[in-house]
Amino acid sequence: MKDNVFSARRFMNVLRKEIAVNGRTLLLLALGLYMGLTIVMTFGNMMFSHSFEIPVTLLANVVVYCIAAFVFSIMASMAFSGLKTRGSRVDLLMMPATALEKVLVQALVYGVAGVLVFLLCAQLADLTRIGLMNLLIPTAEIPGPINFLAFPYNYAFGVSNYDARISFGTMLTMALAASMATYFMGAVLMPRYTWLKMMVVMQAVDIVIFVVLILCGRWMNATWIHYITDVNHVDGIGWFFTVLAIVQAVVCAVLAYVFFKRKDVVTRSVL
Amino acid sequence: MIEIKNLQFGYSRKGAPLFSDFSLSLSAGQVVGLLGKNGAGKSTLIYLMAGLLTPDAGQVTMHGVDVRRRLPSTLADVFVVPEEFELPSMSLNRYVAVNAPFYPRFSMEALKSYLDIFEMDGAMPLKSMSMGQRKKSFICFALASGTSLLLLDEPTNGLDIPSKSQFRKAIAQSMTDERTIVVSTHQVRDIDTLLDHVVIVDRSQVLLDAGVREIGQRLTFGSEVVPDALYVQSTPLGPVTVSPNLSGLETPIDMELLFNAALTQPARMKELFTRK
Repeated sequence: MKDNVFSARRFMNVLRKEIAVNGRTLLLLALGLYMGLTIVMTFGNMMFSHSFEIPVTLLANVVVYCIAAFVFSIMASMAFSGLKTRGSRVDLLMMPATALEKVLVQALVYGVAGVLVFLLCAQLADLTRIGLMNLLIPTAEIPGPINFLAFPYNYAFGVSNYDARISFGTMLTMALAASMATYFMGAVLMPRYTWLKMMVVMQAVDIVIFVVLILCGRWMNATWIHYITDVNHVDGIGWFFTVLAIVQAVVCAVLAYVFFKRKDVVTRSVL
Repeated sequence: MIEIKNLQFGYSRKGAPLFSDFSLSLSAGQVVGLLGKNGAGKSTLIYLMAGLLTPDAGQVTMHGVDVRRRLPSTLADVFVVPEEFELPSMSLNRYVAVNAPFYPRFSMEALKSYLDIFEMDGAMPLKSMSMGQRKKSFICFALASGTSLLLLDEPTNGLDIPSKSQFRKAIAQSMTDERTIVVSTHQVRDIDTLLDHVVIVDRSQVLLDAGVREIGQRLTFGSEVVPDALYVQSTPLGPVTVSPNLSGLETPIDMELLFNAALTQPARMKELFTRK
């Protein structure tokens, strides 16, 4: 067996094992997510179809984005469940694969795949909403299906980006990626915490980082950044926050890898 | 095969370390009994040999490679059966299908043979097994993995009497000239007939590190109380002793007496085994 840092065969073995061990739980979570989104969307449709003149795309954006942020954070914090007990830690650490392969599998399953599953569940839930509304209240205003699968593109690049201005959607998407990476790192650092406790701690970390960035941004805006802002091109503040969100995501992902690589089966007292 | 050099390790930075300047060398083709009192560090030593703990100083190498690097090739050549372990919710057959690809020398034939010895069914869900059955299943997989180092921490805990006999048979069947099996236990009677080599540790010191043949040639275990006996224990049937073997002929070993003698007379034990 070669000791290269990354081997596709080993990576697939690790991925296969992760899915075999946790696949049923993830499937049940996806099912729960679909059912939850269906209820929220159907209820939302019922609430607003007769009352307000709120554009349905805006409603879908706000509700789904909030749910997405919550769900993605939970998914990221579910990573590294193998670190929770000593027995499973032995199994995970002794698995014949590199730390990079093990971390990448976790990032793939609880990050990338989690996002894709969410979008798919949202799409199916929206279609179910239409079916249920037609069944239950056929006279209600039932907006057509929303294209959730286009969300990543819409949010990452904004509605229009022909002038290369950093959109609010891009900043939000990068902030979401940064939050997920923070929770991912938290899953390695605090494996014995329940996902809720770890989420509270990492959310506090996230809020602190956000406040610091806001203060930095205000200082920078007050001094020099507005001098380089050109309304026809790059939005200085948006660019600043987007880049820092990317940096936070990358730093947290790298730290997650480093902490995992140094993990021992028993955490020793630092005193 | 496994070299431990000048190892220093402690769970707390304050207080005395568990191991200080600890050295040990184990060669291939042996079943090694790692004996010691509760808290002596047997499990910790197992973890250190597997690369699961980072020493404060010193090094543990296997075939010349530092085990703490946790290289895939090293991990594929070491298997740990800890005292407490977890198995996923699936059948043993599915568990094997998922985990066997990690071990290049895994043998399905060997697995079937060990399952037959333990009278286990591969189709049975792991979660519905008793603790003893799960342990037997895990031990079967460990033996079939084909790794050159197998570390077993209290493997007979939770096994019934017939299973202990099956365990001995499975271990004996799995041994090869390239393999080393380290069994850490305080239930010496479960494995005494298996051992080729004995290591007794206490308070960061190796009290005894010798092959069973050498032990049988240097010590004698009996009921005769002699003036220079290392250890005398009173039993309802009379005293039992550990004494220097003056005849030089190999004698049967009583592991429990040996363990007690090593703990109570470490200096004499060391002197006896360094004497030519």
